[in-house]
Amino acid sequence: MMYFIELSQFSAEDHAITQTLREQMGRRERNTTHWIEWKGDHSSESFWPDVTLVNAARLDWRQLKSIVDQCRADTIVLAGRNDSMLSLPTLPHIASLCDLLPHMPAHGSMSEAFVDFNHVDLAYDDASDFAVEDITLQARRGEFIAVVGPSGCGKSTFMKLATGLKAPTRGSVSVGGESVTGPLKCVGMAFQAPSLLPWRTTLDNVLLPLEIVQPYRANFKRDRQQYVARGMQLLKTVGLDGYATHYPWQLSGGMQQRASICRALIHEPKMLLLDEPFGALDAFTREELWCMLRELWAVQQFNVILVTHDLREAAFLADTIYVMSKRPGRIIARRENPLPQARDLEVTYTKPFADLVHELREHIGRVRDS
Amino acid sequence: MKKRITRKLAPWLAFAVLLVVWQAACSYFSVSEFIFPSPLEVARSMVDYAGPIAGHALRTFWVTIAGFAIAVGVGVLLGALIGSFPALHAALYPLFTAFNALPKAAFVPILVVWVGIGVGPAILTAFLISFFPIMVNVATGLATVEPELEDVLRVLGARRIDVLLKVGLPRSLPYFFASLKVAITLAFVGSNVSEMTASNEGIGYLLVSASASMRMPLAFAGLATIGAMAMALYQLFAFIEMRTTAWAHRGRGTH
Repeated sequence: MMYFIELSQFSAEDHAITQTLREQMGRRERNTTHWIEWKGDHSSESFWPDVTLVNAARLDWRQLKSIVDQCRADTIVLAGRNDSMLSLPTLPHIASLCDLLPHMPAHGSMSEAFVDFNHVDLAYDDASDFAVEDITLQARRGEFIAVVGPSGCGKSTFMKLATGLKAPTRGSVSVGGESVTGPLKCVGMAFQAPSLLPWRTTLDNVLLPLEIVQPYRANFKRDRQQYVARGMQLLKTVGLDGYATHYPWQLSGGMQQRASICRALIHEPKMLLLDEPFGALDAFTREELWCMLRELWAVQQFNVILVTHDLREAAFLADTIYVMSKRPGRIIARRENPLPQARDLEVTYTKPFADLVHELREHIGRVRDS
Repeated sequence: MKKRITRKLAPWLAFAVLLVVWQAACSYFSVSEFIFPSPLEVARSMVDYAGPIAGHALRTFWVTIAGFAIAVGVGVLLGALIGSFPALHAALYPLFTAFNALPKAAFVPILVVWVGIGVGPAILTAFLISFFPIMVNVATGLATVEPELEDVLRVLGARRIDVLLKVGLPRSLPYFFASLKVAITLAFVGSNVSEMTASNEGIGYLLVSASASMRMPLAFAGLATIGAMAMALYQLFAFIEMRTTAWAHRGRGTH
């Protein structure tokens, strides 16, 4: 089914069109299952989207037809000026994407997990015992999950499995329906240490993934200005736009960590992995960064896997919390977060929140004493 | 401000004191100019023979630079290979260390047989003697890159060469520049040793012929010229180092 959205301003910039359409969509519902894929002048990964948006502004009928034939989606929306649609058969017009979504059937991929760990074990090469054992978990698309546990329980090992840096000894890991056999490019990662390269400015550090990951890498010279704009935009959302030309050692720990998270998001990954990213920061900076992360997630709706030892952090941010046991790490508890999303810091002082943290604490306590 | 000026002038002051003491000792003990010329005699010799000294000095200079340039290229390449592949490290490192232990002066006759007298052995000796520190430092720099920095790229699916070019080599620059400062002095040693036994030009040749004709002040003048050239290049590399690797030296109270 094809539709047409007319944009009042002619813009050849993919970025501007995406921005306009994003604004049209407004704030997405937490449980939305519809996935939108942007097909502009570049090819992009497709995770079985429900709706494909095509920038029709610069394309002729033949090009449009070939893109449309390639699309796997059931619904295709062409966006552009009226002139570009003149050679096409008349299409139904819609005013905005919001009009469209409620009428679409729930996509089959809702029941499919986006992240799927299936009875995964991992032993490091020389060790005879396992670092993690029998890890089974699924995450929906756009879900925020937190993994908590005592030190040394294998949380970082779990992260390495999720990123593909280590292959499981037994079992399988799949992300987006595809088996993980090596590092993925649709994933961004931030570590406990910001690990910014000290010989590059903050902005250059944030742009680093675009120099590595295709298709950005191939177009780097050509699209550099666009990328710089994107980088500055991200830095602005975290409040670092004034520090773009500073070097990492001129920034405080909290600022470096913010830059590190921007770096993890610059290539628009479908999943963000955070390995105790706020562990080295003071309490106030930590709360600030929780809110920043929550904002970024609310707008872009990527999956997040957050590994942390801070129970309040997990309870504040996550949709689902998993508790891991001592080495060999196993998932011993799974808790859906009962508090409604779009939480602000005030909620951390309410009784339901305290109860949740208490419950998690009891799980951990049992683990540590066992 | 005053402290900085004093610090900059200090080596010159020390040098001046050295000259004064040297001159005083020579005059007081009436040391013969054949044994140990005084600074005045050396200076007079420099003035008298300015032309030849300049000619030989130029020749030594460009021969050394040529050998040094090859050493940098080869040193960085080998260092990158050895630092990136532990298998190569285990295999080649002991061989190179053994090679380095051989006195390069002993190589000169062999090189003469291969490439003839003159420029060839001088450049090659300079190269052979000076590539080793560069190779070692680059390899060490690469082998000691923090895994966290590499993980940042690996997680994105970067190839090995990407990690090398974007993280490994920049991270190793401080080590590289440190080795350059050592290698340039060694390169001068190499070219001189070769010129002394297998050349008709260059400061090495000047030293040998001056000693043979008992013109010790001239010989000392030649030595002083080499010292000055080596110092100048050393300072040049130190300057470039400060400019390009400021990020590594930030703990030194420069801000």
